[in-house]
Amino acid sequence: MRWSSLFVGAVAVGSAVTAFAQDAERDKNQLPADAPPILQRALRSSDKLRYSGVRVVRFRRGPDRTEFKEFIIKDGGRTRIEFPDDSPYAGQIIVETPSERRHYYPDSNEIRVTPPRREFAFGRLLSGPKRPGRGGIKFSIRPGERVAGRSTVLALVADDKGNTLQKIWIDESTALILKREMLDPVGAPVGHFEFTRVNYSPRIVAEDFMIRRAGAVVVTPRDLARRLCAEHKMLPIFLPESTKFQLEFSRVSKMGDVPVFVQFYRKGEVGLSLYQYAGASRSDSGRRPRDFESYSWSREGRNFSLVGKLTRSELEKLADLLR
Amino acid sequence: MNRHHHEFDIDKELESAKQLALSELVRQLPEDEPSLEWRSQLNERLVAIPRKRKSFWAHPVRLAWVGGVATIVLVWLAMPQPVKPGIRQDGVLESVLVSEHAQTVAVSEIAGAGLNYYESQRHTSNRPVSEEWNESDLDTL
Repeated sequence: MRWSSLFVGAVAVGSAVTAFAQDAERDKNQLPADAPPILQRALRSSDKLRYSGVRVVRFRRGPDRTEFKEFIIKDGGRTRIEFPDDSPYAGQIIVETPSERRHYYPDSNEIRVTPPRREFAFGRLLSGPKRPGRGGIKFSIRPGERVAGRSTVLALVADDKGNTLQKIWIDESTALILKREMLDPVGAPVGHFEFTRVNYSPRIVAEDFMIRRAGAVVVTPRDLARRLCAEHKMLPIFLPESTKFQLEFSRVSKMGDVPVFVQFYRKGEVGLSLYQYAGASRSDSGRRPRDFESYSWSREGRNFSLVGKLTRSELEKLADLLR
Repeated sequence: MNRHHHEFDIDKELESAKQLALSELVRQLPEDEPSLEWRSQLNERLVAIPRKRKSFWAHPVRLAWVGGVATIVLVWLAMPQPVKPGIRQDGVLESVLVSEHAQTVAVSEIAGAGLNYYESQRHTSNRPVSEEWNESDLDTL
């Protein structure tokens, strides 16, 4: 009996790992074949362009808005980001290479090492499995306004009913995305960035993409997640590395009186959130806004939910590794 | 005196010829000893009969123990249990989690290699994190 259970478990884990390996192909940053050539160009050039510039970033979360300025130096797949002296983030430095992203926090003297986030990988929005009942994505192109003194082409990404999901202003000659807006269902921006200055002939040295700080502590997302687990008495349960999902960040938020431990993973272009929270076990209601799928289960008196742009059976396979 | 006289009479009677003849007759009767075979059969039959177990409940000490434990369990069950902070069962939480994930993906798209929303809140916001999610979040995406 014990041996047969072990065999069944080994087969299940093996199948899950094989499935994830197969998924890696699908997760490549690809645009649909009917995407306009300017978008294809923008995607191809995102890891080749060389420039420096100033970018303004805005987020809206409920009634709150956050806005800050970044200084960017980019050389192909390498990026350095700093912040102005009057910024609340002054002193922080971010360096991303094709293999990792390093973020230096002067206040805690920490260097947080995470997987690269692959700037401008806008293929993420369009990737993921086709699900029944979900419509496709539509593109349209029109002349755009001048951004950072450059002529642009405006690419609109809309759902099958014509609701605009994204607006992307692309430099007509270099195909750099100079401005981008992500919109809510009624057309208001929830995320936005815009270059206010861009220089395609910057002076860049190799040291621009290094972070060396004697005495700084190097921490990984897993270190931070374990720290949070200990502080908030959460179960230290993480997706195994064999799934190829890499932990980007974690945090503990509260909904009402219930603390919720959030882990955000990414594999290729697919983002995945793992939630852990206390409370009564509950059944899956089947209510899922938009095109994300979720899967919930209980373990040791806690509830877990996986949410992402995966099929339900894919989420269930991942959950099997955590039960 | 009478008694001695009476005992004397009995002795005399026992030694009378009549009594002695009767005694001789009894002595001549064959001895009736119990059969060993019969005794063995009886033993076998006794062994074959299953011995009746004493009922568990027949033991007064055990009965008292069981009664005591049952009373403790009943009292514990009847006591009001502390209410743990729970999560609404109507699927609202699930919707919030999915919307929260959608927002996480959106803000990480915009941020690219730069600061995402959560990193930007780390140094600027002293709001309690409980305010981060509420039902109005459902409508933001």
